[in-house]
Amino acid sequence: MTALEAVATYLPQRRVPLEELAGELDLTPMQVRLFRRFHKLSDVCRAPGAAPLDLLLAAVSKLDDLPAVRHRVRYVLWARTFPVVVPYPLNPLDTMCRLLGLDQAVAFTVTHHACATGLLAIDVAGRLLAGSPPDALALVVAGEKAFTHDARVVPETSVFGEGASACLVRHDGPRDRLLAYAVNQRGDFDDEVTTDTGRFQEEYQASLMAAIRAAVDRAGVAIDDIALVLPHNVNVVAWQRLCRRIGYPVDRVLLDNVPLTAHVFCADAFVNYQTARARGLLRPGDRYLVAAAGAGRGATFSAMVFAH
Amino acid sequence: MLWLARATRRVFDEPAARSAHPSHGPHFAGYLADLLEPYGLAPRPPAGGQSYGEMAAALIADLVRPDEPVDLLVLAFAVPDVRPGRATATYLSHVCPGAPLAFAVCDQGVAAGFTALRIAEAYPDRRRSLVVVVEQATLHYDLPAPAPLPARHAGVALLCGDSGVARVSSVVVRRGEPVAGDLRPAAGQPYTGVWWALAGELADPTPRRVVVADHDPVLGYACSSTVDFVAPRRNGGVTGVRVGLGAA
Repeated sequence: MTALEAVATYLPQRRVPLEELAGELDLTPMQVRLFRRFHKLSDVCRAPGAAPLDLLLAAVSKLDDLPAVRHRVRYVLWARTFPVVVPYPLNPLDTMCRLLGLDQAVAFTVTHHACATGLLAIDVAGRLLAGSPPDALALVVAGEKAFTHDARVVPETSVFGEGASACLVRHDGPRDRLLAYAVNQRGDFDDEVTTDTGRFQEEYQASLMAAIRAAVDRAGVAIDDIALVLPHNVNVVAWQRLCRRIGYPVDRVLLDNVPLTAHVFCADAFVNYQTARARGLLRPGDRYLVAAAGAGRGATFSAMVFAH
Repeated sequence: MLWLARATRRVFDEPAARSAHPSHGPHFAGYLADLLEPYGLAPRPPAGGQSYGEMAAALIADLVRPDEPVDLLVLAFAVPDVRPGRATATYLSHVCPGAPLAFAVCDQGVAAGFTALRIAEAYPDRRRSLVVVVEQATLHYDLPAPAPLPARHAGVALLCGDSGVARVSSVVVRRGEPVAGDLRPAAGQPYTGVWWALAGELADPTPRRVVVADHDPVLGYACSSTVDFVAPRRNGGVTGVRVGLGAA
């Protein structure tokens, strides 16, 4: 059973209020007010001058145990929202591996689930490790630059912030065991299939709910058994609505990072995991749910249930 | 155990149909400019280029019957296409029979196709899987570092599952010296060439072992897999396929 061994995150110190980004994001003053008051978005982290490699290295450097276990790392996966983030054939992932002494590991990027790719990468990593020695590890990293308009704002929904995460995964282990993973892929929302963005907004909640319910069912628990939800940080209002629909208390959804970081691509789940651990919100044995929705011309809704 | 059932291969002579869409040019130009600017590169005027969505959709239509639901689709690529921000595999999940779990692997050069096959092996609960390896030849900027560039737009799709005509095993991706293989990769197709050759092998039903091997000159990956073609059975099946008889 796939398990998390260690998690680390990096958030740049520089926080930029939405008002300062209005020009860059093509937001009117009204849209900024809506984001702030309705969606509860406030600041994003930015690391000017930092390249994708710098973000990834900053997160991995916080994995205190990595130097001692790097010889056990068989796979390195970069979970990425945007399929192409540097000019071909530049390869920050490969460079990162060489700098960290992981140059014997097999490294590749997983993508095309947009911001839900972080969950996918955990599943792929755990499965690839199935044929390796029991102590083998995979390193899953996430983190991207807000380098182009599509990577800065999701119209009427959210804004992206920079940051990164690093997570060591085992095929089996005692901590944070993956009980279930469910994916609801909606290629019918691809922009070459439909231009009806209204339908996506209408079906967003139901599609994410379907993934959450499937994960909870597969884990053999009830939604009430879920001690905590680690959401994607797109905005607060989407989670308030979803909680009303599924009958889950919104105060058990960790939304505190939404105004501080906004949506950190595939790293949201790990940023929120770190916050939950730091605040003692997870007790041994707790079942918790991680959920993400990725909309990148097509949409993927994913959920995982873990036992802490 | 993973079996190769069928394969298809195709060269795409025309640029992506999407290139003619009025919104494509401005969006692609903006994405490229933002992608290149931090690296001191400038876009060259866009001319041609293919979309992995269009290429893979055509391969799926060639290979997968409507009554043959696919459970897993892994798209492998190295060179970016003309829709660099698109979640193409998610779109492919929509057009592929079975609405499979679909995603992409990249940033691994030649090794991506082997990793896709290795992933198909790692999902035994997904009974039928489709590995799609694609490359397109048009780069809209000068290469900032040495790397292979395809001479044509090409794609190969391998339909795999728990039965088929050839058993796939020992899929290995590692850093190291090249491994000797039995297939001559198609020229001008650095990322699909060896899969192109493997797809051609399916025309010959002779029982034999074929070692599929390739090496990435930039990243240093040595990749290999063995593919064992087995004799067709008289009843239309193949020998070597394990048949459950109801005993545990």
